[in-house]
Amino acid sequence: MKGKVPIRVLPSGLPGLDDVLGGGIPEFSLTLVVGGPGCGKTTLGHQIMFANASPERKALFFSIIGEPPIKVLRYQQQFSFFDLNKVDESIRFIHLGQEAEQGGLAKVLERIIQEVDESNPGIVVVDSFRSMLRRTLLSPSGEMDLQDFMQRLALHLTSCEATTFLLGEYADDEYDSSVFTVADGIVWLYQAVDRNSVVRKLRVQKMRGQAQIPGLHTMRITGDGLSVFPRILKPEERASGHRPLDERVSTGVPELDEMTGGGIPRGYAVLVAGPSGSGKTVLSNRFITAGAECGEPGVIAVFEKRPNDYLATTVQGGALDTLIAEKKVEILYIRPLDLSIDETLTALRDAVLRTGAKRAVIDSLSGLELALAPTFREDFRESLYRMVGALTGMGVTVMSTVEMPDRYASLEFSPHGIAFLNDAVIIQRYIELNGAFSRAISVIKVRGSDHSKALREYTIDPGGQLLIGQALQGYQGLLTGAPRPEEDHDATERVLPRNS
Amino acid sequence: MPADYLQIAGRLLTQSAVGGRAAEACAAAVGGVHRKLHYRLAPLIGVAGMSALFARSVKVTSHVFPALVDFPMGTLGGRMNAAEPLGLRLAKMPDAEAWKAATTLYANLLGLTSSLIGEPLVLLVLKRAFPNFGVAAKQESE
Repeated sequence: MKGKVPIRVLPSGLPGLDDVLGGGIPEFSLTLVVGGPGCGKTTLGHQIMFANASPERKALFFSIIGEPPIKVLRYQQQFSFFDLNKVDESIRFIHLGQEAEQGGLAKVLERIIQEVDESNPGIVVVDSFRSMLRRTLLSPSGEMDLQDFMQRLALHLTSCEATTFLLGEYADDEYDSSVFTVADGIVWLYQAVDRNSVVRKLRVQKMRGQAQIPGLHTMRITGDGLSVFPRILKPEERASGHRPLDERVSTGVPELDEMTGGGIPRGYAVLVAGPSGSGKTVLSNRFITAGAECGEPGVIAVFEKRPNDYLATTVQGGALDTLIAEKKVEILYIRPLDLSIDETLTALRDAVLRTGAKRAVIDSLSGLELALAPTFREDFRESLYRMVGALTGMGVTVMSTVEMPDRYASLEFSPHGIAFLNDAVIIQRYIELNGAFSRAISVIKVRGSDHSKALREYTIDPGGQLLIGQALQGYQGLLTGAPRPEEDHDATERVLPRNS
Repeated sequence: MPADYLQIAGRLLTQSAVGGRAAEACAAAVGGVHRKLHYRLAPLIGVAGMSALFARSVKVTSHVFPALVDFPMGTLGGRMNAAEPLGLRLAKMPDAEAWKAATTLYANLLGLTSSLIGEPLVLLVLKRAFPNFGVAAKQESE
């Protein structure tokens, strides 16, 4: 409809936050940034301010009670976003401790209005207003005073065309109705403690006029400030008309391509499951090098080893090294032990966009699970569903490896029941043949496609090539790990009790 | 190379001085320097922060210049006119010692502030508080 007022948005300056907010920070809005001590409120306020302040759009940072400004300055300037040249020119710091002590809310409001009228700022940050509110609420007219303060503050700042942020300390279940009602946006910051790990999280409770992404989003504070890793709620939809079975990508092993019915359908997620030492990494590396050979860049995400150690211990390390130097392959090492799946996904997605990758390897899901903070391990299946969906939605063919102990009594393809999240499943396992260990490979599923059902013996040559032999025929009980030639079948029958 | 705050403080006081090298002139120069510094620094680090740093600088300086011991400051250090009682004290000191004490005190204040919020920010504050500071420094180095 024509004639509707357009609401412009300001970039938050925090990677990932604009997506969560539904595009950015609505101009002239009043946003509460709330949470417990140490959750990153002050840093977030500074980051937004430094991202947006300029000589044309000045910013005012009011500190009231709480961290003394000298300490704020000392610590905030350690972040890379803190641009000294903006201090005083574009950003002014004003401490209202005296006003708060001597005249309470009324005096603070008076000074804020005076400073805003004088400087005409585009951005206003007030840190931290909560301690002052607590004091006000203790008086008999506290609630009324607070309502009056909020109404006047919001009205004045909006009429001055200032985008405002009030930073305040609130416990998870706390709120001041008069404050929360007036605010156009409410952003909660948390530090979730689970056993030995702490994960920072952010939630947008409201953001008027915008479709924010609901839920808890993980975030991290580094030397560059806060980064938010948006929770991807649903996998990206593939382009209409996309028919993965029409286009196959080679695994780099001709016999395996044949077994999968002509290669892996493009954009599929493939799971390679097998016990330790069965050659999952070898196969996944071959998948990447084969892609690079035909002009498809690839990304390998590793979790257990640092890239150099990974390359030094995998048989195709030399070939990968060359491809990395040629920028055809990128190895992504993601810091372990306190990861969220969204952070992993963001890193992978960035790498895919950076390199134009068509193939990605996650080596391994077992390592990824270990690298996740405990709180995310509980939702591993759901997390993986989102990650695989997001990557394949970008048209990337994903191969994940997962370690499976050889349990000969049962046939499992993956822990946590994650096989169904994948479009194709390949298993590798050990079998005993003629008194020696051999390896066998089989394709369990390729969604929508015919594929070989054979179990085939394979070896790995010193150059890291997977050499797949013919189907193991003439044996029975291959999946038990100790097959017998088929002629023994009758003998087995004989020793089994008739009524068993 | 870290800034030589003793040299900077001396230069700021000299630039602000009117009427020679008498202790009274030093007291007046201190008033001018403090007002300008306060105007730029207090909004940045807070009045209480300014007061705390000024008190600490006086304390440290009084180890070398005992005339500043028991300087009646209270919370005045954070105010623009904090230098008035300091000026009164300096005015009673021998001329050369008054200049040395004032220079040391402001060098200590700048050094202390620098150790907390960093030298670049302090130099930025000085540049804004004393627009001629940069020009004068350049001319001197030439």
